[in-house]
Amino acid sequence: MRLVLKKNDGLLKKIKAISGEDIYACYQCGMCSAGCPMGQEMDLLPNQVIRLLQIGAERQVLHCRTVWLCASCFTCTARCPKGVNLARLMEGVRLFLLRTQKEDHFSPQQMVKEPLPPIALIGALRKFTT
Amino acid sequence: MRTKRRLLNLDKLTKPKGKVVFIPERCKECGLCIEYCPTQILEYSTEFNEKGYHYPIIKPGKEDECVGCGFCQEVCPDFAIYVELIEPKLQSNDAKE
Amino acid sequence: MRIGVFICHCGRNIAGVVDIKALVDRVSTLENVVYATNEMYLCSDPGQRKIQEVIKEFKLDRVVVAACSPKMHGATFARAIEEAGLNPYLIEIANIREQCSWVHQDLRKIATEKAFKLIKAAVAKVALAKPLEPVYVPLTRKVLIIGGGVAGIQAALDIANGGFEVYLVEKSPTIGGHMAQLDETFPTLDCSACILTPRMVEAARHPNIHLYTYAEVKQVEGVVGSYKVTIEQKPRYVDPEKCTGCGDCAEVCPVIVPNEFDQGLGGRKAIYIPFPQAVPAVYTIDLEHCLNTEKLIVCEQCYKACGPKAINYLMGPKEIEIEVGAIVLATGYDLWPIENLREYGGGEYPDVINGLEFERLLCSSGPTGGVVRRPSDGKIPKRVVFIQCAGSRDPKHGCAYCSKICCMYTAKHALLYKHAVPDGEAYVFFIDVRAAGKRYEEFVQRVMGTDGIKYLRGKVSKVFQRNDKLVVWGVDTLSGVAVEIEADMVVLALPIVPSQGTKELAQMLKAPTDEYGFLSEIHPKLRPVESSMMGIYLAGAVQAPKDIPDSVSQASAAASKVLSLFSNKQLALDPIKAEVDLEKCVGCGECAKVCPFGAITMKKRLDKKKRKYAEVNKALCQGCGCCMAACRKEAIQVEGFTLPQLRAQIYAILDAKPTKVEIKKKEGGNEDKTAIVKPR
Repeated sequence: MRLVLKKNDGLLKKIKAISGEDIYACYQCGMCSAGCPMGQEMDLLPNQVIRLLQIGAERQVLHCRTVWLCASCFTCTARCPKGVNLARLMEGVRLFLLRTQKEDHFSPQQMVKEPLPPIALIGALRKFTT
Repeated sequence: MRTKRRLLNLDKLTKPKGKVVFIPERCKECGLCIEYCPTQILEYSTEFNEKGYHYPIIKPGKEDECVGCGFCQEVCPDFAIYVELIEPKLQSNDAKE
Repeated sequence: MRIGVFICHCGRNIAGVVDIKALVDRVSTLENVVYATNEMYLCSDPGQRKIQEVIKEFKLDRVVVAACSPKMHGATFARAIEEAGLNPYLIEIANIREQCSWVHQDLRKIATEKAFKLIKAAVAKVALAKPLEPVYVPLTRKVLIIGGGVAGIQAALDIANGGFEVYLVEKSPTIGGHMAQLDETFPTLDCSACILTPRMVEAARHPNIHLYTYAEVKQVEGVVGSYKVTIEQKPRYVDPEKCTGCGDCAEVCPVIVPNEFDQGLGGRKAIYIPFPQAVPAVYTIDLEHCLNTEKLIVCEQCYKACGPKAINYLMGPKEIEIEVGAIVLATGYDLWPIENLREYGGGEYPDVINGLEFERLLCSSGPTGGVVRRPSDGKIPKRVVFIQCAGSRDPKHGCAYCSKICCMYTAKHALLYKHAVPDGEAYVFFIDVRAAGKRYEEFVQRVMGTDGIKYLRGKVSKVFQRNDKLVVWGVDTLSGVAVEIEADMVVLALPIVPSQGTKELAQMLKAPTDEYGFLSEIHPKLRPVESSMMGIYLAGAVQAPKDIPDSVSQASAAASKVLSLFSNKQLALDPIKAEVDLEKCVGCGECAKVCPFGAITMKKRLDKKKRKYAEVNKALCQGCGCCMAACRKEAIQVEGFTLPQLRAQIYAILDAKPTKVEIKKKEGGNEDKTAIVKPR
């Protein structure tokens, strides 16, 4: 099945408005994916996420597991030679999804059963819930 | 700062070999020979000479490292140390950098 | 005064915005204008012929062309009126394109009014123009080439074969530059030293080339045609006439230091020759590492061992003064410091090396005799990772440009590594592969298809040590897989930067550089071998990263520019230069103080009062006008841009003359003159 590309329906604009990043600065070197600690668990690599946004296939990004597996460690941002803040872009996609789909990606009841430091609990609440 | 590097062709470079000869009774512990030795193989001995001065000796283990440059000989004010050149160039050197 | 005005349509460029017909009508009413017309393309052959015919028919003595910027066709029109019999400086060009129609595309009425004002100003200015003759300056037909790499050698040979004398100055003890350090060159895998050394020897033996190695340019004064250069040759402490290059001295020298030619991977003695085929084949004592100092000579091993008695500890630096007409800069490149890439372990792990170091390991005249060994323990690496774009194309690290040669030399390294270690594995991490030269793409495809060499598309994130292996974390974006490789050695393709000392040299020559330190050419497309300073030419990697064929081409191009400069009977410079009115000059010296080129000197008059006056060196003067602005008595003016001319332009635009000049006296006795201009 071919992916039909046409003029985007404002999705990209909204993601850009939330994150404020220039996605066209990325030249797909892949350094972010190379250093990402969660890379092997992700279905789409971080550089593939930004690539799909660049070519106008944002819809593919919305259903991936990648943005939820992102640990926000900022290794990608620190290493990017063009200065693209990919961690911020991931957060932008996450916020967009949370705001539109209005469902949590995190179950407080399950997490409370594990012995977690409070900062992890609060961080997870902020990142994964509406 | 290129740490832990070796020069890779040391086995092909030759260094001269010299022998240091001491006349301890003339020494007055001025320390110039120890300071000027480029390979830093001299040190003060724990023994005294008749005048009560510590005379220089070769650091233990470094007997083969004298290159016969002659600095100790030229700089000693009392002619208490001199150098003999044993082999001008035949010694093959694999010492570390 | 009979002025002719020619207004150009420039196709739609001007005519699309400005009302040409109205302009022609209004312009013909101006004072002194006896002819006004318009033309579709004045710069074309028929356009220029029209100008020449009108000059002859209407007996014009001044011409105004209203068209594009004078930088485009100024010379064209000047030549056209010269052929018609007028002095080429009796023309003024009103720029009604770049300064009018192109920037006011939507404001047609206002643009037409502005075009009229510009033409009116040009008419007023040209009425006061004087005929000028070119300034002839002395031309010494000798050239100085700074830098003895492949570009410098090529330029030297081309100019010397053209029959002119060349001074070739090189900082290191031998010529050859970085090309002499290479093992084999892409894409033909020619042995680099084999193709370079014949040229080196030819340059050393050529009767027209004076070779100064172990020397630097200390001072440059003067201007094109008559540069006075001071070269300082450092003492080698070895007499080049007597040294036979036998090497007996080096065998007995007690000092071993890292050899710069081997990029620090091998050792040399304090008395050394950089490599066996060095030109000149004379040994050099490196005073920094020799046990002796300038005043204290104790170790005499080399002196005793030297058969021809060539060693002279009492040599001093030599200063050589020469006069040349042109200078060619060919100082080449260096590699960016590897310590800048801490994420790849640069500077920290001895087995993370750069391209030139790997080149020396491969080279059979290198420190390991062609056996690839790790610098840490001397073992042969079985798995080598090559990282392209390590620092280049990286605005974050300050090198946004592409270094051009790394894709090709990395492919070559991978192939030569496989030749040297047949059971080894090579991994190349790339973002793009730039193989644009002749047979370059075929070469890269050959390398990519070689068994044991894998090309992975992605930039490496990190290199770190685990046990005694270097772990490389990279990615292959084409398959979407993050990868890890346990390597024995990592080779980084670092950016190319201008060689050390280029910045100071450029400042000495007043030649501009860009933000990375590369020398700027006067026009990137059409004039890539000339610097904006007339008489200075660029060759090789000092202008921008480039490979050997391009360096050689550019060197020959620079040589051809020098040869064409020298083939003129005289050197004629533009007469737009400062001229002093001796009756008005009071000798205050303000102009000499502000001149950025040092072209003005104060001389004493021969009268009783012995007052001073300003004298302009026409060769040095560039016509910038700073002196004119500084002079309080209007005694010094730039020909072609005199103060009466500039004032005439302003009054023409403002449509007024000053009715009153107010003079306010400020403290300190300075006067504040304000011209009160009321519109007519």
